[in-house]
Amino acid sequence: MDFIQNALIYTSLFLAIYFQVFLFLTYIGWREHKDDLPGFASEDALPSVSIMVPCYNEESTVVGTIESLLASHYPKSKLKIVVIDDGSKDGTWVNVQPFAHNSQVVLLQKKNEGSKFAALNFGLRHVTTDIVGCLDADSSVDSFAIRNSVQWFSRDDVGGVVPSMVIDNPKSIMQHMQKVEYEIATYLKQVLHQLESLYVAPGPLTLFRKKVFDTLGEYKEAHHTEDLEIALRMQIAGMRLVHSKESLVYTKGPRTWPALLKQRIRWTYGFIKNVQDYRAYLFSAQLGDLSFFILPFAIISLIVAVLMLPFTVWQIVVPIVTTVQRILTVGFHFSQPSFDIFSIPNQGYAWLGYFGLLFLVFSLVIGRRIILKQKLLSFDLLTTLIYPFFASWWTLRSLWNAIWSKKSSWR
Amino acid sequence: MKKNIEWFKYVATLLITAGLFFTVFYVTKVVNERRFSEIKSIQDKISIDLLSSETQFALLNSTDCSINASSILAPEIEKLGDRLSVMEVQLGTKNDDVISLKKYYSLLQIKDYMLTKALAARCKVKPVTILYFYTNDCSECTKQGYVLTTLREKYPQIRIYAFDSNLDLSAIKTLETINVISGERPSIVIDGITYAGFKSVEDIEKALGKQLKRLQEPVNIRSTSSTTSS
Repeated sequence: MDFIQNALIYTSLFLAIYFQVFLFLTYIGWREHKDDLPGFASEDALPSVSIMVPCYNEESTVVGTIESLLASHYPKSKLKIVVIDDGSKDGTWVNVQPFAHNSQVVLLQKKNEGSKFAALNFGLRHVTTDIVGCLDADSSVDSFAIRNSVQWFSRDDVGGVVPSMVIDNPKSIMQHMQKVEYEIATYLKQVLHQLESLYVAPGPLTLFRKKVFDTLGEYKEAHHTEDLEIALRMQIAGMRLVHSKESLVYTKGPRTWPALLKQRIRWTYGFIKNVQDYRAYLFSAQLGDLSFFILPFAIISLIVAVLMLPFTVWQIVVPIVTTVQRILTVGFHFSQPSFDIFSIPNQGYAWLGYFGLLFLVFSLVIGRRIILKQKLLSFDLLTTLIYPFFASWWTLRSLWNAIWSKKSSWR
Repeated sequence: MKKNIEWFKYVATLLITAGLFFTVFYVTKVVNERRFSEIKSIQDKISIDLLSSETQFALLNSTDCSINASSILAPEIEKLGDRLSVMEVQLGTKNDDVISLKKYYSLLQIKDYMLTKALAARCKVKPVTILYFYTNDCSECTKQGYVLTTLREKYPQIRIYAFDSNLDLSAIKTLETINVISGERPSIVIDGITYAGFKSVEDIEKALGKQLKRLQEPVNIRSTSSTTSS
């Protein structure tokens, strides 16, 4: 049993560190990228942009979303906001009416079909601009986000631009946990950009050339992860998806654990099913690092997360049980802490864990400090201690659903 | 359109990761060797302490009660007990070096216990001692460890001697036989009376009875080792 446990721990650590070293080498410029960003020469040269805002029962947030888009530093004549009320039952439609006479805003209404992709496709049919994007009705944009992203379209080979996402005004522990996660993900996005391996075009403000949809077709249902499917379809078609790290989008993360669990099961389930659908492209030279390294490692990480769940639970539960047992036995009586160099763990996995932690800190420094220009140290970093437990759990649930083909719902 | 894959980077990553693993395993090995070396030096010190204890024991038979034997053994026993606990957790209870050290530790405790008894008889002092017999695979022993640790902190003068009944050491077997220790663990011995099974702080305080009151007075006894199962 010890042998199996050790084999599992060291194999997982080897894979995790291999992945981190690979990302690190890529980030520090192992491969020189000639991604010079020429940008557009003048405002006149900027392409026209439509941002679709699909909303379902978003009466409290949709106005703020529209206002943040209208405040963008982008020529007003070239920026359209297409609000799609997806059959809301609350006051969403009423609340957006003050924008009805704004020449930049188009208000559309449709019957709810229980999926976001249908609302997006409905909006796409009303878009005539060069560039099109989407913004969830609970998100808002930095005033330069659209302009920064659009600069990438000065390169003919770029089909889509992914922004940097920030959790807006976190309040609950779950939101603070996501905030740190998104900051680390910003570093990951940057590296995936360098590897030309971005495989998700997130709902909040990913911009596309309209011709992407004209060529590849509309969004697909794609197991409720249409943002992942369209990214894979673009990669297969040889259309570049890039990351504009300076384009900041503020989004609300799920506030409670059940809501977060539901979202993550949908994402993870969608990832598994989409990779299954596109399995023919795994280990294909056509997709390069994405198919040889990123997607296989993403799959392996799911398996490792599940296999490590008992170990993760053990690491969390044992100290709690021990403390409770001690309190039940002798009451609230705690020894004075003392330090002995002998007590520093000297197991191999502990040292490797410290290295893993170093890479995590590096990711955080790049994501939080360098790209997002935020404070490096804050209390929400403590949430990284509980994150593995939650991540293992939603991965386990997603794999279970995938094995039994139990579909996850959009809402 | 095929994308360029830099296979060299994959190989370089593999080499760096493997190098990192080998370095970690090497450092771990070196640190463990140093720790074992330190343990061995403690063992050597224990041997000297044992001899010193025996000599002092013999000396006391022919001298008065002015010698305080406590200052010789207590600090080393405590240090050894604490480090043994750490090494047991980190290297496992089946590690040969840990077992060897625990045997020395147990012998030292027995010697100290005998010395304490001899001092008590000759010098008319009544030290409060508890003999504690445990095994590493008994859940009640973990709880008993908490209780004894709490008692040791509450009454630093109490001398607690902890013995792992699973250690293959004839001296422990003899001590168990003398004190009529049955198969049940944990078992504790207070003032010559054996109590089998888990005993709470209150149970032990009750068993110690008047002896606890004496602890309030300045007496010539001292605290001693940690319990390795706690």
